[in-house]
Amino acid sequence: MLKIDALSVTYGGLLALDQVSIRADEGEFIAIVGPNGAGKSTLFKAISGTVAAASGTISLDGTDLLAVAPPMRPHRGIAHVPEGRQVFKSLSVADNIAMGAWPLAPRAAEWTQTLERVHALFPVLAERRDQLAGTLSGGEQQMLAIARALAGKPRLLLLDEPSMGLSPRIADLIFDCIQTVHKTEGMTVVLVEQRAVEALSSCNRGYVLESGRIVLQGSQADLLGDDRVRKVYLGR
Amino acid sequence: MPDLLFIVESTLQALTAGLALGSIYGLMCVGLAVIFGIMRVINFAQGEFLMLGMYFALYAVVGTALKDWAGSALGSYIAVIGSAPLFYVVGTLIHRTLMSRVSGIKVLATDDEGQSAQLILTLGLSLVLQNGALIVFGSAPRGLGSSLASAAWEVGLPGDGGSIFINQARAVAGALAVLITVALAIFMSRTRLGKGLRAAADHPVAATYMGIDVARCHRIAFGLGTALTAVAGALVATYYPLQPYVGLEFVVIMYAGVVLGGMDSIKGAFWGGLIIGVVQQMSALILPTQLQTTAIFVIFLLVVFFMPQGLFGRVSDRA
Repeated sequence: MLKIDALSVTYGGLLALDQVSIRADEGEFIAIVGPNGAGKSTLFKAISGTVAAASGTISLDGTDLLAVAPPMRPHRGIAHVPEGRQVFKSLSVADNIAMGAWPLAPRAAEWTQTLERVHALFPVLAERRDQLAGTLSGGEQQMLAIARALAGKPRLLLLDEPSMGLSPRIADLIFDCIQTVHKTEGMTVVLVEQRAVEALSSCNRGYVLESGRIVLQGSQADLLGDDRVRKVYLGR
Repeated sequence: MPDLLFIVESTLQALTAGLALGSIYGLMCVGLAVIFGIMRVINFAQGEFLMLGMYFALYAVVGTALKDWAGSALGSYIAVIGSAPLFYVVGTLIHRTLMSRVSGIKVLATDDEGQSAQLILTLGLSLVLQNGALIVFGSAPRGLGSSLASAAWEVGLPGDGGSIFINQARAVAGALAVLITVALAIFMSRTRLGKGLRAAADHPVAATYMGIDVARCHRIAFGLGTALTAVAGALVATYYPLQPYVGLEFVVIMYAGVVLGGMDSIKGAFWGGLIIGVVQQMSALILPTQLQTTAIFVIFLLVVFFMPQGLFGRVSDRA
């Protein structure tokens, strides 16, 4: 479904991503782990088009994504939950979700269904639907950011550090919801996380990204069994 | 107690005049606030858009058969309606050819977020339009000659008499300005496109992740802001003489109003303009008319001093 081949990205002369190749097949759950500054967010920004690729290719279902204008990419079925949530703070919770459904141009019936779906997943958002998103707690904002992404009925969900800044309890809840979406809807998920334990324990396959390079890749079992991953990322 | 009656009468007179004028000022401020609120661009050519709206109304009424067909009063309101789509298109064209080069997502990463280039561009545009207008329209003050400009409604006060006079052209212009502002507020808060514009203003990058074309939103915002200001200009033309530098007289009011109301709030901008209109007219009760503008800026400075976020602006927490 998503195929990234030899992607390089430079930031003011610095190489942020160096020949990165990643693949996500239909219905897969891919985890990308790595330390801060490894280029994980840059990878997602390149997919969404908010940073330019220096070389390499990104394709979605065989079409060249780099040739698609950035605001048109979500219309191809990609939803990006950015690092730091980036909800629309001056819009209500319901309007934030409506913005996530922008590619669908929702009609009344479909919109009600969309709302019910995300409210079932995150009941707190139903309670707070008329509140401004800026008044939500960090955990609620993260739920909103995910709900907003799901409202567009994407086929590929990109999640950038959804646990960042959250208490372990809330982070667990978020991971559970992501699992639910993946399992019940068969959505393809690519998750970027510093919390390697949670990320690797939910994935089918994973990649380890360090200093802009893929240093290791494999199935869940491969990665969890790897000595280096255990030592550096899992702390055992 | 003839003195008390006189005071009540003249206060009400000034208040009604202030509300009518203030509503028109409010609409001008809304035009500026739409552009600033959504694009984060301070448009220094706003006064010239107002001036062009006035000249459009003038030529639509006196330069065509409109005056003979509909009369000077109705004709001028037809010109007001006509100015909206025309200046929306003008605004989108200016955005496409000029503004898009110095604004939008791509300038967010630059050192000053493109502000120097925006200042030079809009200030330059303002000078070109002013002097262009001088060449094309000439420097002599002109008037639309609307029959309403010199007509007034007399409203009797209850009790022992006295009455106030309401200038018809200003009252109609003020009412239309309120109507347009309410329509815009409903558009921004209720419609999908309006919410999309607000999302693009709130967080352009996240809006892009939603599939919202921020460049298109900016084009719409610049078109809307231009059209609103030009419509306000066409309304002003129904009661005020015009010349190529007329924008300068109003641009000060626009900035003061927008800052009063909070830089990125459409409702706030309208209230800001309204307050300025009322203060300007009420101050004439106790101050010589030359000091009207001074009164505006005394209020302005007090607000800036005590409430720097404006009367209606939120204390922003943009991280």
